[in-house]
Amino acid sequence: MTEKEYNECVTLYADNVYRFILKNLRQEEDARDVVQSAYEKLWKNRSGVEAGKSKSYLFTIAYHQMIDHLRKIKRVELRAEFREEAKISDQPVSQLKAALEVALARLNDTQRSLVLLKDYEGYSYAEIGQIMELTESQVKVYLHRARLQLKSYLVSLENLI
Amino acid sequence: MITRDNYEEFFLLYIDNELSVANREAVERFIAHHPDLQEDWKALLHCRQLPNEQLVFPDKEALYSIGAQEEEEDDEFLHYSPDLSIVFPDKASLYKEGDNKRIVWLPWLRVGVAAATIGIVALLVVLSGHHTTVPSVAQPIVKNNKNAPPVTPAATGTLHSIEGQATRPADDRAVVHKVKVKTSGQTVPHDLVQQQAESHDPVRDAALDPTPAKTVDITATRVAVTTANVTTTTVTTANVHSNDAIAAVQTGIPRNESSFATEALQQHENENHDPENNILVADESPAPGKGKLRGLFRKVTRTFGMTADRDKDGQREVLVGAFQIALK
Repeated sequence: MTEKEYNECVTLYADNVYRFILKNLRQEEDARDVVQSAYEKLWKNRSGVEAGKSKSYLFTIAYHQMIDHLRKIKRVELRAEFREEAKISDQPVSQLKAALEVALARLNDTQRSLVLLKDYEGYSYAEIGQIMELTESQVKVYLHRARLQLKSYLVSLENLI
Repeated sequence: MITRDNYEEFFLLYIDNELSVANREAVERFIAHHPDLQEDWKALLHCRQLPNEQLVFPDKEALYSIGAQEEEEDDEFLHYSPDLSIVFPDKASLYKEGDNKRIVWLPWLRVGVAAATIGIVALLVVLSGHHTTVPSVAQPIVKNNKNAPPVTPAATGTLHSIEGQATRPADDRAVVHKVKVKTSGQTVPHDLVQQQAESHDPVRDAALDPTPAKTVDITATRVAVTTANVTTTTVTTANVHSNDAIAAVQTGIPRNESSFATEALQQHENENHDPENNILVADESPAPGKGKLRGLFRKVTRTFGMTADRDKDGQREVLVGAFQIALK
């Protein structure tokens, strides 16, 4: 990867990686640090990275650094905050969106990353497996389980409302 | 084929966009034909996460500048040079003198031991080699002449001492030589013994010397030759002069089994024999040079002995203790 290709990688994928990390960490500063360190690592290893695989490589680095960061801080209290925030909303659209945020936050780290990589970036099962170091069948099973969990939460929430 | 039992998996694969076009159409037809399942279908569609396009990374310039910063750091590293004015203040404390002494001491000790061993081995080899070249000659002993100057034979009692006596002017001194020879008991070819005697026997050389003034002053010589069968030969000469030598030779071994020393003495006797003046003088007093060292030499030469004779096959042998080693 040349310097030009690296800068293109910044232009094209920096926002995507940032959203993915921010949705997982819920902390802008932490998400920014993770993205920053992911790009630094991409720059150091640019000689061994092909330009066509730079996005996948970038998401892989960012995901593992995010996991390390989560293991350090273990911010489990975020779930409660988002739960309260969902109850406060009074607009139907925003209610659904907030409920979806809460439902996403209730997933574990692996399930949440699977859903985000699939829905945000449109990666296939195989590509997600490479990023998260899982088999394709594991990705499929874990992702379907996460979807059903999200649906179950939204259906139960609709029943309450 | 989609059924009511497996429709959920098809719905999930449809949402994940993992179905082919044909299967996607099959799912859509299945939902149209089963309105009671549309609730589940809508719930799953709502579970999809849509990215917020307004959410962007706030500091992209910092990411662009990562490459530039790294290159500047690389340049600084390349142009960095060490400050030679900074030195370690206490280098003397880092040297290890004690260890060096110990390292030197051990090799010298080993070298000393090795040198001593080599010296001892070399001494033994020299002694055994000397014994091999002249195996049948013992210490000559001066006897029966107090006025004559003492004869100093060589430490090993070689025949060179006899030669030294033979070159002196003739007088009436009596000299007794004792010669002991140990062989392996093998019969030695006569021609070989003769050749050895011709090459190493100064007595015979002196006797055969045609010069009139040269005399052989061997008054009495006793040669004892011992074979493996303990055969002893005594050769006695008395007042042997170049012109009228008087000698008595008593021998009990055949000519072909005798050593070169015996052969030489016999030949010398045959040339200078005078039976009328047989004088047998046996002097048992210690010869000059005989002492503790001589006993050590004898033990060494007995341990490592090489025969002067050859066996029936013409092979030379070396005696090491009770073992015989054939030489090629």
